[in-house]
Amino acid sequence: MQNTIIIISLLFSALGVAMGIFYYWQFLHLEKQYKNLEREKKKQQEVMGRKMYELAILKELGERVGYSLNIEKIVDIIICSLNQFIEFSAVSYMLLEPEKIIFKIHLEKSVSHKFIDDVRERMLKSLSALLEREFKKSEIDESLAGAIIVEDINEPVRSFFNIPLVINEKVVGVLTVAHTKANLYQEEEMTILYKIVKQASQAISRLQEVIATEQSKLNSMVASMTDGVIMTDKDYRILVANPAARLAVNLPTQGEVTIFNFIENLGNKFDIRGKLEASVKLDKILITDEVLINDKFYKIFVAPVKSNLPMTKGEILGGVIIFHDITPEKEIETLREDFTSMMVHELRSPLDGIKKISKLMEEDYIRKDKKSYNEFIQLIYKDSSKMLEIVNDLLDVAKLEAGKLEINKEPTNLKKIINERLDYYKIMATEAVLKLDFISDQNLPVEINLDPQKISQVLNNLIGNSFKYTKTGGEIFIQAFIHQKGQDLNQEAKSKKLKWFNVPEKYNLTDFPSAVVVAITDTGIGISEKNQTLLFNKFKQFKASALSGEKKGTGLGLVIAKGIIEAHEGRIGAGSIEGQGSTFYFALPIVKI
Amino acid sequence: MEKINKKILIIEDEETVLRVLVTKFTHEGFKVFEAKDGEEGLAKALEEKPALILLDIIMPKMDGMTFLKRLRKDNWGKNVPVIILTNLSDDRNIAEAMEGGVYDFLVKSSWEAEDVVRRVKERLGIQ
Repeated sequence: MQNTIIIISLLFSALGVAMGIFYYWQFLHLEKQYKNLEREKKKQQEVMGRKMYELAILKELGERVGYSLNIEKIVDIIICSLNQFIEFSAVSYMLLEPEKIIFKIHLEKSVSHKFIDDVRERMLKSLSALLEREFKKSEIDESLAGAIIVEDINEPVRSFFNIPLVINEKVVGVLTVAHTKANLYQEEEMTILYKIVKQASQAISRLQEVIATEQSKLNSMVASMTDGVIMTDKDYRILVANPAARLAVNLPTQGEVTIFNFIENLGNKFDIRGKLEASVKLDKILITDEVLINDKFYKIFVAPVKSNLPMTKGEILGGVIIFHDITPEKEIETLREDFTSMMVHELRSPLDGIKKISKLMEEDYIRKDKKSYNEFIQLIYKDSSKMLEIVNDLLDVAKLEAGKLEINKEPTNLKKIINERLDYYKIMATEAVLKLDFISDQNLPVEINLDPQKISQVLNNLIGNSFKYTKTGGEIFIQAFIHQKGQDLNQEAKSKKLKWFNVPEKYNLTDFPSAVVVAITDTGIGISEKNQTLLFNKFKQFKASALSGEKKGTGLGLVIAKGIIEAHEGRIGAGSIEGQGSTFYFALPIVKI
Repeated sequence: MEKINKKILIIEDEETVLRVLVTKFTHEGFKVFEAKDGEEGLAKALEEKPALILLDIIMPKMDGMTFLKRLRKDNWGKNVPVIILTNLSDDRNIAEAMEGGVYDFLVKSSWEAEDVVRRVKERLGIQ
């Protein structure tokens, strides 16, 4: 019995010990686990902390990047933020520009020249590898900032980390951190650097896309403008130069142009650069009223372009130049001036003549000379008639333009008024040995609704012109016929075998309703092609008449005739061959009374 | 009026002005030749070789400026005094004419016939 108790006690003790060991072992294990967890937690906290740092920096960067596309500035900003969580002796970047490589190195601690050289070497190698291009040291535009160089600190580069800078999938440079200490820049730490750079690159790429879209919208709008438009940035680089601007100075409408192209082609006619500078400096729009470039007149506006963004409000972004073509207005102005001065001249000459003659007629020897005396009276009559004609014509034209030309239509026998005009001119015809004929269609309506007095005036003008411009032995034909709607006038005249000089397209009646056409054809000196374009234009005709020295009327008669015919809803036109003769016609639509 | 016996050529296309001048100068005793355009004028000038020419600017066929250029090419023609009769609207031609060698300008509407006579006499040194 005693033995059994001893054995059971021993067993229990063994169990106890075993359990104790077990628990102890468990306890140890748990503690380890617990310690692991602690460590884990701490690590996570660290990571969280870092992430928060990252976020804060990224946020700040995002804001700043949003307002500036200047890559240098952005990289500078990045560098400034880096020392908050990365240790370095030096941070630097290389940026690729068209003509050079920008190399900026910021020293956090003093280093030797050798250190910098080493960094530079490595970066250049990286850049070359990235872009598969060789770069020369001479291409580098270097700048240094931060701590001073101390030659004695002979520490080499022991840690080095490179990140490529990529914008819109293009490598534009490298960013580097370097330290004299070894074994820095492990993967973990470098992650944030990657992220920052990536974030900045993405932001820039996106912004560049947006700008490209907006730019192309702007470009399309500007390209289609009829005014020439040039936009420059504040360094006078051309951002936009639309076709109209290029054509104005004889530059090709495609391809790149620089401000120098414009400066060269403008010569001394317009100081484009000077105006841009002045406009920006004075901050106002400068207008140059009249600049003659290649036979065209332009009004040129130069204005500064300012930023409207909250951060950079008021900052000068560049300039815009607008070439506004005022040639048509200038032409009209010139024509009007000429018209006025010629009108004055035309009136003054006969008036002066009358004055001189009257003075002369006071002399005894004239009064006694019956022949001279009568001759002079005739001259007075002629001059005063001429003046009256001019004044009447001018008044008629003025009425026309004011829309006050009165037409009083009544049923009129057209043949009758034509015959009346013929009677009037018959004497002249005989004197000038000119044949004057009237031919009319059989089926011409007997009466047409028109203003007899005004149509007589038109006939007078046209027949009178034929007389003026046809030499002795010539012929004048007055022909009246019916035009059918839709028919070509020249063809109609041909088929009716009329005496006719073909009229140009603009005077054809193909789209005109059925009408009575009265055509006056002469075998006179005809009209040159150039002058044919002037025919019914007030200013041009007057000028041409006055300048030619041929005192054959004001030239306004045709202008007035046109006004009268158009007031009848009719059409007037002419065709001619210089040296052979001319045809002038007017058409009055047939309206069923 | 005693004969001055000097030849004078008047080239003017305005009938009235021409008649007045011709009458006046004839009355003053000049031997007057006339022409209505530059072409006729040039022919007469080279033929008659007048002592002085009164010239209008705006004329048909050949205007005053062209006449003057052609005249000055001739050996005799380059020395003959010319007085231009013009109206103010011919301003632009004035500078041109001065180069062509012209003695004087008379604006038609500001001068009476006798003023023209006086100026001609001055130029020819006649009392």
